[in-house]
Amino acid sequence: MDSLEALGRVVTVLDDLGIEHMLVGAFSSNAYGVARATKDADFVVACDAGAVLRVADALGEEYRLDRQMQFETITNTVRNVITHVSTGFDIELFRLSDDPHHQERFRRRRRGMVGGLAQGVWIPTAEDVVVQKLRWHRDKDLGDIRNVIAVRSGELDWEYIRRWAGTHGTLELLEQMVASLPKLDFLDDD
Amino acid sequence: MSQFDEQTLDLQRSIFRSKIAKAKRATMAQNLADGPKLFDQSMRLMRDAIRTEHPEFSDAQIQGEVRRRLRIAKRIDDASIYQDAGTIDGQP
Repeated sequence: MDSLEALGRVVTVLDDLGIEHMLVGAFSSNAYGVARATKDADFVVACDAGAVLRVADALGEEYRLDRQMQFETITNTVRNVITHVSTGFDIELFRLSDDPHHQERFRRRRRGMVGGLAQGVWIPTAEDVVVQKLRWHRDKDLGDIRNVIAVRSGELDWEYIRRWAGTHGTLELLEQMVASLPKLDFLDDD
Repeated sequence: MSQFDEQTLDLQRSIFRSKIAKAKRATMAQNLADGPKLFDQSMRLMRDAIRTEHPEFSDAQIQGEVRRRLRIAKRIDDASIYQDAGTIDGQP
């Protein structure tokens, strides 16, 4: 089983258990921007700790659940990590929090198909990818934001992005990033 | 800015534009599938590099070294954002 198949198995289990979910992190920026390697698949899941244990049980021996939970300090979400043993590919399950943007991002999610997988996955909108990655603003997040903005130029709802960036205190960073992008007008002719 | 700096900046912009143009032509389904595929490729490259550096290693030792490096990468990624929050089943 390769990493893509390992991901597909997780989506199947989440669907079978009736757990609402959404694929975020690098996968979501890959969907709208420039694809890069990612060593994990980050899911937001609308469930409690007991359901996470049921997911791990259903995945079976090819996967290993790390019983240690982590608390994400910027948006107050709890994370569990499940590793697909043979590939080393990590599945990270973030429980849906009460964070206002996380709630709205989950409501706005959309279904996307993944090449090579039979089932589709739920992903956030491009605008919500930008808003969330601005909050984390690690080097790799900033690169992902630049790519999403450049690839989706002309399609983004800037009013929505700026509203949330203003709420999160990341508006100045956003404007700096937009100003730093090279002119891409020629792409509109493609 | 020196002529060399300007040329480097022009090259960076050209590479960026080329990357963006290629991404705009790809479908979302392709892009979503590429993340894990690129990860598998990078793991194969890492295993080959470890095998070259340590020809005496068994497959299990190579896999152990790969896991060690992935753990390091994860610790670096997580350092600024995550704190331990107990165990999922409440057991120590």
